[in-house]
Amino acid sequence: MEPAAPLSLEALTGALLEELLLAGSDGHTVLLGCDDQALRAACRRAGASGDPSLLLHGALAGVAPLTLDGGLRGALNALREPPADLVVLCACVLAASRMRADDQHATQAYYARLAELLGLAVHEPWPGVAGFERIPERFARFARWLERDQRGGRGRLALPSNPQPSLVGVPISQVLLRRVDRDRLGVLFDRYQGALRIGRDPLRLLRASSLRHELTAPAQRLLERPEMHEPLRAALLAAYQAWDGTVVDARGRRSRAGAVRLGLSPGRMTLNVSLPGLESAADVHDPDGLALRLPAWPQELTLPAGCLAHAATGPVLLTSPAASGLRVRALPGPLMLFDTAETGFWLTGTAGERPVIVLTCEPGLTGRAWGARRANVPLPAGWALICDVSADELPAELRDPPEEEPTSVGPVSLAGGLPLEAGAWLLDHPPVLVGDLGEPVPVDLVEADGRRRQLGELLDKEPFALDAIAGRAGTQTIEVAGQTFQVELATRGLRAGVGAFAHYPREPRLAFAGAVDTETAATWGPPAGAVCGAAVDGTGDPAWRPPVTVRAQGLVYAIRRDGTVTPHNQGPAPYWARQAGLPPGGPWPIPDPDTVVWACVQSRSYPRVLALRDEPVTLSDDVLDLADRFADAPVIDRGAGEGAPGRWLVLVDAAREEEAALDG
Amino acid sequence: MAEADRRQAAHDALLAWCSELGSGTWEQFKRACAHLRLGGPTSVARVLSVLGHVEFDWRARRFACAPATLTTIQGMPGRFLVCGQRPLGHLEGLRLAAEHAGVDIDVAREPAHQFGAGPGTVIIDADPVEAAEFAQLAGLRFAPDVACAIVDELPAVSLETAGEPTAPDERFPGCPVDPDTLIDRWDAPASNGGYIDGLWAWRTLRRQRAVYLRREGQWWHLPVGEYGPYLTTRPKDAPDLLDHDRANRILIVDGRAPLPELHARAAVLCSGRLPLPQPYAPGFRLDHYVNVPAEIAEAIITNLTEASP
Repeated sequence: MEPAAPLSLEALTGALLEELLLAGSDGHTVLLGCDDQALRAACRRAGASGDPSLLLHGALAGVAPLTLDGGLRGALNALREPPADLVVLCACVLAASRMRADDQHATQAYYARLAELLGLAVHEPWPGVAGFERIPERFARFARWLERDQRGGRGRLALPSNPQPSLVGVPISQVLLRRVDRDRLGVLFDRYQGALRIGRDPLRLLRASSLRHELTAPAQRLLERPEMHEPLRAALLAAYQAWDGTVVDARGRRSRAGAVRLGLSPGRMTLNVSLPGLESAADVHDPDGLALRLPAWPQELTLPAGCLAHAATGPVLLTSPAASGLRVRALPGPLMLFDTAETGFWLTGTAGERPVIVLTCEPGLTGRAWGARRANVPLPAGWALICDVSADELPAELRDPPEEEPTSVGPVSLAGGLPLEAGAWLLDHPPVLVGDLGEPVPVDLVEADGRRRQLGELLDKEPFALDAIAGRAGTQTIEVAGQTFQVELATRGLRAGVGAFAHYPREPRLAFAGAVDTETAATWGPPAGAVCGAAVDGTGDPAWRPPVTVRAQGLVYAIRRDGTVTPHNQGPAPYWARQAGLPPGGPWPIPDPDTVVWACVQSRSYPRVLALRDEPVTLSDDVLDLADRFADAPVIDRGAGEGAPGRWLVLVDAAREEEAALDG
Repeated sequence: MAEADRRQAAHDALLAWCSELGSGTWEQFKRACAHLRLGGPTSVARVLSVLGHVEFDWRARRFACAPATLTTIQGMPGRFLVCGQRPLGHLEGLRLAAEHAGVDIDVAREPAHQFGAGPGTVIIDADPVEAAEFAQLAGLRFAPDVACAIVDELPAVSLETAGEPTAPDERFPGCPVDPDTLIDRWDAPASNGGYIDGLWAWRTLRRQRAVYLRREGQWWHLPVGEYGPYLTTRPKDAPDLLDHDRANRILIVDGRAPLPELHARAAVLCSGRLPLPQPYAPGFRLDHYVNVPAEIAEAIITNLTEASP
């Protein structure tokens, strides 16, 4: 254990208060929610470095010795009134947040976690930490302190009226997500990575997914409490941000999810694994003990054919020979979906708008009559590769959450707006409510603190516009006629499939087909000369050289290599540019720029000479006159090289010599 | 809000939505147009396509945004057009990219108004020497002189290449298209000898107006119906469908014979401006494509007029 600089109890108490119970949370239901991340943040806030658990232990031990027989009694006797005992309460909640099954303890072993945090052995007899029987009352006093002394400004602490178990149920109820929940959320994060990466509401995704049943009972109960949705959403976001990319499978094995690309050609299928973030190649073994080398990202490893058969019984892992080495989940299990992306077919969690390819050995799917969609490729017995499977042919569990938040069937529904993917709409363009109710019914917005605000009334068959929430990013809860709708307004979509279609005018069979997808085009070649939007690909570099431009409102004299001097100005803006509202000015070209060596910009405020080429100039009278006029102007290099000022000086000197000769 | 302003905001929102979605189905696009009250989705789709923002695969009934691209404006070397995907915050992103790159780039505060006809035009002022570098830093493709590049790709047009030898489904109604006025003549009298040669419009389940050409008794389906007026035989005294005002750099197109998609895109990308409709009689108009230089206009006109029999 690394030694930690001591942190006083008072300092830690203040930091925890600010970290966990923000001022300005009037009316909000809050939980103490002290987990490792929150404790770390609080210690940082207090300016302390070192192991946060040790700092907490040190702060408590500094108040009263922590002994096996004394347990928490000493600290509780010394810290009689809230908020002085906040550190004690946070230690109890922190222990609850660490509950998960490991080599030493079962998930339910709360006292073991608390004793470990306090540096004690588990106390016999019950409770497992001496003095713990006083903890529920301390929580209740702390809740009253928040309500009265703090006037509710830091929120209202939610405590269970009938905690189960009676003692440990209280600190457990303060934890939003226990470690076992966070472990199980890895599957959710893995499945919805794309949506979460662009800021989708993790709470909405969790509530719509059957994965919520994998969470512990206390976490599932939180999902049913609207007043806890805001803190739970924050906890899910924090958990996602802290997610290390690993997934814990049903056997408790933790692994990093690999990216899997399906390679498919007539009569042949490959599964190709890569690991995002892998910076150097790693030696691994497959389930058959074969030694393989997983290359650095984004290179791929083609899995041996024998790996697929192992996926019938669960995830297939590639493991490093070292005991604590790399463990990569190469294949997730007996059912895999592959979706089209720009670079091929990639493993995905759910099927959405586009048909997917299914690789499975589940009899419920393999037993169906897929006809020509069942690919003819070598596979282990019982496996099938099925192409063009739409979401509605798959179990609901494998479909993207529906566009509308699933609610009980009712007379009101959402329609219109500018929907992104499931359940989200573009900011400023929410859906409308439509119903057939026969009478006006109120439409309520349920705010984060549980308060309701009526937005208006839904009239018979007349769409109700949700303009009141149009500009509010995030998930909004609307209640009408006993139905609840979750509407997420977002500023970002998946942005998938950009550039998927192009015109191929050079291919006679596609020239008049309009835009087609690259797959269709590939059947003819692939042909060159793809026109996609404002670009033409596959035709080589364009024969365009950047012209010489100047930004000048006034006259520009171009000195050409043959000694001629030509005046130029911008000229009037074309009418269409004026109509388009383009501001006058801007860069404009000098005609015949290939012969121009110097450009002298006539400006009252900023006369200047632009050096365009490192070439000699015939010293005509016009050139010398101009050099004389711009003798003191700054010389700006526009591609002529470093010696431009010197070369201009030569012209100026020549002009002065000429003048002197004439005067003489 | 004036109707033009409302439509302008709606077009910009539609492009932002297409850009955020990335790609989608025709049904999704239709619903979005309905929500934004932009009218016929087919014409809205054409606007997005000719401006180089979105591609539509009509057979698959899907759309996909084109990648964001920086291209040149004909005759304005210091100004560049931004086409393709335009998600929310795109302009701000371009400004930040310019600041970060330390190049002399001016990004327009707001897209230039299209007066409700389409999404606004985003133009940046830049030194041409620095444009390619800026495009790379800002994550844009750089495609200078794309209008010329597109006309170079235009395929030679003939009935055999542009048409499919397919007869229309007689279970659905169809009418001849007047070769002079190019108006669908549902009121045309029945022809004793059956169908006459010429251009026909058919109303089918999948398409509201499928275009067929009958020549020497042979039926041809034109998947790109815009080629119809240029492939059919027209009266000798019928006015030209295409003209070019060289002095003012305007490509003039008869509104009854809109340019095919790629031809229109080449013309529009000369300026980034949609054609200006110039009505001259009830139901008749000329479309003015501005800033089209002679070489591009002549290439377009030649490509289509050579198709005429």
